[in-house]
Amino acid sequence: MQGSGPGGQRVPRREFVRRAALVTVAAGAGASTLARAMARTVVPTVTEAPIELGPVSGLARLRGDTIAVGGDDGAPRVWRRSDAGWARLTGDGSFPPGTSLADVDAAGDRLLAVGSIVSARGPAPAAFASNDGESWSAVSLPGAVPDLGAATSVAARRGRFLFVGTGFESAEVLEPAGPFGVEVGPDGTSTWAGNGLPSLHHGAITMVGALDDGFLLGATDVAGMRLASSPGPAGPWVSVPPPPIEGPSAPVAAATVDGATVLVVVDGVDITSWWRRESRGWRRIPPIGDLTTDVRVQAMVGGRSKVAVAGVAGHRGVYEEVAA
Amino acid sequence: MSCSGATSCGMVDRKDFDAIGGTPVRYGSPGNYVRRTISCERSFYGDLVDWLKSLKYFSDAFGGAQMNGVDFIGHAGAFVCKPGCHGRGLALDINRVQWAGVACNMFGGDHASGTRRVRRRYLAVDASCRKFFKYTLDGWYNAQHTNHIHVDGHTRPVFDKQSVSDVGFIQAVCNNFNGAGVTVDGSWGPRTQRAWDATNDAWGFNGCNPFGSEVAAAEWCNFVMAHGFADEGASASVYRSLLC
Repeated sequence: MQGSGPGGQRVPRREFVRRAALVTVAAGAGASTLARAMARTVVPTVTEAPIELGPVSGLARLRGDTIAVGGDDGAPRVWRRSDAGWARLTGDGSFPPGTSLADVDAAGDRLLAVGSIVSARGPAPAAFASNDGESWSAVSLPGAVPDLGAATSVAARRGRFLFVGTGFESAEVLEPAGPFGVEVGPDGTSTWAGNGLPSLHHGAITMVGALDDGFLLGATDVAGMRLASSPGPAGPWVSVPPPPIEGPSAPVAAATVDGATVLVVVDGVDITSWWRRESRGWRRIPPIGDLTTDVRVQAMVGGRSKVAVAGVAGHRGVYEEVAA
Repeated sequence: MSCSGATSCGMVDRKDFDAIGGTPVRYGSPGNYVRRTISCERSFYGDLVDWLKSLKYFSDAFGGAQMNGVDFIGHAGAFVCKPGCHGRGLALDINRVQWAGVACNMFGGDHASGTRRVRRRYLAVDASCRKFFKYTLDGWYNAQHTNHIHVDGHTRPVFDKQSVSDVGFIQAVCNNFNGAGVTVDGSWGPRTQRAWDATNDAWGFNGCNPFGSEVAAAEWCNFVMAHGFADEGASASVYRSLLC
């Protein structure tokens, strides 16, 4: 069996894939229903696989495969994990110079990756569409999107994408200067979706997640973590009480897992915590899979049968997939 | 290290701390400060230590008994997982400097206080920040920063006449220490140039170029700190420089 490498060349499977055995997670006292129900599949990381999985910042499911985006600043990467294992889908010329990818999601057979393109004028928000993860084309953005800023997160529901980000005050001072939102429809047309976003004081939207019942928006400002939900990309956004975390913190990923909302939060000392929304509010849960708290989770894609989470530990890309 | 990029946050060499060189840092706002461990890049923490040493030296030397020793630094966050320098652990939002007998209360908007002594103290703290952190955003910069001073340090601190932040600070200094009466708009023009020249003549700063030299910019900040903590006008000339 073979997989696709950069530029579409075929790479013998044994050279880039190594799968670990399916292991049932031991359920300790107080472990969540979610954790008890889970098993994990450990998939290759940079230390285990010849294919280098760099920092992963976004995940999506496309036709049963997992698409991961990330890489380094100005060196974006897209990978696919299929039954054949991991394959890198893009090369150095796949995106405009200066591109960094922050997130990706899929709606049907279409992918939308978002991030920024850094030029002499500073970083500018950017979005790219693809049908296969290998060939990407830039999406034209509405005029209201700030010239200076970065798209931080994207989510898709019912065929429509919502991507969000922040403007910056100046190219020199990359202080968040107001959030923006853009809806991308089935035909690839983008429209402004920033009017109803929660107002922030000196803060930024840090994530948007697609849940079974709508979008969940996460932000951080001087008052701490902020959450809001909406049935559609254009709102209306309704405030959601956040988990009880003291000090500065920011939500980074959310998904519906096993029928419940799971939220990942990074606190003021860069420690990741996991929260499950229940009838009485948020309850802290163990990390999904085998992730330790020093792994900064940056992406999660939920579902009925399996959950995938990814991020970075140091500069090493980390990916775990568990059965839900 | 850049403050933009693929990931919204992350640090290369994290430093956890609840004090800067032994001085506690407390998160929150007046009446609600809590000592809590926070994080930043280790290199940035080193800059914070240098900054606080300098601030303490000048407030001790020129501020009188009320400013002997800093009790704590109040803040609204260092590393926060969001786009920009906070997300890279290269920024701190300072909202209070508490000495034994007096405070600089950025949270309360001291830059706009009706009392000149309070404004001068704010400018002294502002100057202490600019001596070490190129991107210091204060209450004159915009509405987002009326309740804290943002510092980040991803380039060397030299003044820039194109920088709204730098020019606004200089205009405020000229107004509060030498009665310049210029509009604080962050725009460098002939009136600001005259105010700059007059202030430097008054307190004896000459022969150095803070717009081209990091050392000269730091020395100019020393003039502001000395006069600000002492609550003296430029003409009092309470600080002497061997360099400028």
